[in-house]
Amino acid sequence: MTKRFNAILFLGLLCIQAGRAQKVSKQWTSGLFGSLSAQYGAYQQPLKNVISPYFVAPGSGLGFSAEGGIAFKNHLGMKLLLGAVSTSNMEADIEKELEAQNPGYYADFVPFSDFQERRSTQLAFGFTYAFPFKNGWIEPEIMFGGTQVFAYQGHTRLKKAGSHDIMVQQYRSINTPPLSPTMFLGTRVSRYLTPWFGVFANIRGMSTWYSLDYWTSQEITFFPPPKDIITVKKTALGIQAGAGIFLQIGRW
Amino acid sequence: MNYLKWLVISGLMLSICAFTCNQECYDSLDLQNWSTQWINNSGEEPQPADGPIPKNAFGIRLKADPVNQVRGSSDDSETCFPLLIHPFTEISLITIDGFDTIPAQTDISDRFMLRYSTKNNLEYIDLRNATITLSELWEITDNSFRFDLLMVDPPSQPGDYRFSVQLRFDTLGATVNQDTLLVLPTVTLQ
Repeated sequence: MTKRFNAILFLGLLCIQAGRAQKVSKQWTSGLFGSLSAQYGAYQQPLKNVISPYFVAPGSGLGFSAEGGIAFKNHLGMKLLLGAVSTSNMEADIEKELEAQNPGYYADFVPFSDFQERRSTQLAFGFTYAFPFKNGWIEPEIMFGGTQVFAYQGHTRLKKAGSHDIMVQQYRSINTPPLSPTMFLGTRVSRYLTPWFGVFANIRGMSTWYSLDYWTSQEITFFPPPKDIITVKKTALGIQAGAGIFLQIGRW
Repeated sequence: MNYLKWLVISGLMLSICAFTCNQECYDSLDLQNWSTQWINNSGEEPQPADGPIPKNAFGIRLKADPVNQVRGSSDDSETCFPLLIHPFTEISLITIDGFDTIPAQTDISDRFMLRYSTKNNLEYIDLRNATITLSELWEITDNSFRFDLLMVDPPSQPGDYRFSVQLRFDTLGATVNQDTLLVLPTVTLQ
C-alpha cells in the first residue's frame, strides 16, 4: 500500500515538474492525457447483448468512456479505453431475428427476469497519430479490445400464422465469453481551451465479433423442434459519435 | 446509547417486515353473468370473430363478471392474485350434433386447451388441469374474468358446428358460481 502511494506521488511530482520545466504551449505536445466523453451510438444487434451501461437508460443509444494515454514527440501515441455503451431495444431485435429465421411465425421473446444484466463494458488498447494544427490536433486511432456481450436469457414463443401451433422454448446461455473481440477505428479532433485543458469531438467505428452458445429446451411444441444447442455467431458493427473533455496530465 | 437505540429500532422493523413483506396476497371473488364469444387465433393474438373461422384457428372465449371481491391487501397499489371463493371443478365441451366419427352429445374436452398467457409465460393447458389454474392464479383484465379455449384438434371437414360448455364449481350451496351450461350458437368453420 505504501509502495503504491509512493509510486503515485512520484509520478504526480514528475508530471508537475515536467509541466513546469517546459514552455507552456497551446500546440500539441508529448505527455500524458486523460479524457472523459459521452457519445451517441448506433449498433447492429440481432440476438446481441451490447446493452445499456451503468447509468444510461436502456435503448437510449448513449455511451460513456474514459480514456487515458501517452503521446510521444514523434506524434505517435498509445491509448487505453474503458467505456460502456447503450443500444436499442433488445427484445424487439431478438423477436425480429426469430421471425426472420422462422418465416410465417409470430415471435415473442420474454426475458426470465426484468433484472437481468443490463450493462456492457468495453476495454481497448490502441495506437494514435497526431496531426497538430493551431491550438489543437487531429488524431486518427486504431484500437483492439473486447466488449462484454451478454447472452440474454428467456423464453421464446413462436406462433404459426393461421393456426394454434406454438412452440415455447427456453434459451439459456452456455460458454459465454467474458469479452468478445472488438476493433475500433476512429478520429478525434482536440482543441485546447487552456494550456492544460481542452475539448474534443470524435467519431469511431466499431466491430465486435462474438459467438454465443444457447442451450434450448422445448417447453411446448406443436411442430418438430430444432436443434438443442444453437450457436449465434455474429459480427456486430456500430458507429459512435461523441464529445468530451481532456486534461493533459503531464508534459515533457 | 444512540447506536443501541438505532440497533433496536432496525431489529424491530426487520421483524415486522419478516411477517409482512414479500408475502403473496390474494383477492377473493366470485363469478357471474357468463357469456361466450367465438375467437379466431390466426394472428399473433386471438381476436373475437363473427363470421366463418378457419378451423385450425378456432376457439371459444368465455367471460364472466367478478363479484363479491375482497381485497387481499390494504395497500391499494399492491397487485394480488385472484382467488375464486368457489373454485372450478370441471370445464367440459360437448359437441351437440357430433362430427367425423364422434356421436352427438359427446364430451370433446380433450380436443380443447386453455390458452394461458402472462407477461412471462405462454402455455396451453389441458382442460383437466385448467380448473386449478383458473381458480387460483388467473389474471383479471379490464375488470373481466375471461379465458380462451382453443380447439387444437378440429373437425376434419369445414362446415357448421354446434358446441356447448359445461362449467361446474365447488359452490358450497352459494347463489353465485352456479354450475352453468352454455349452449353456443352455430359456428361456421372453414
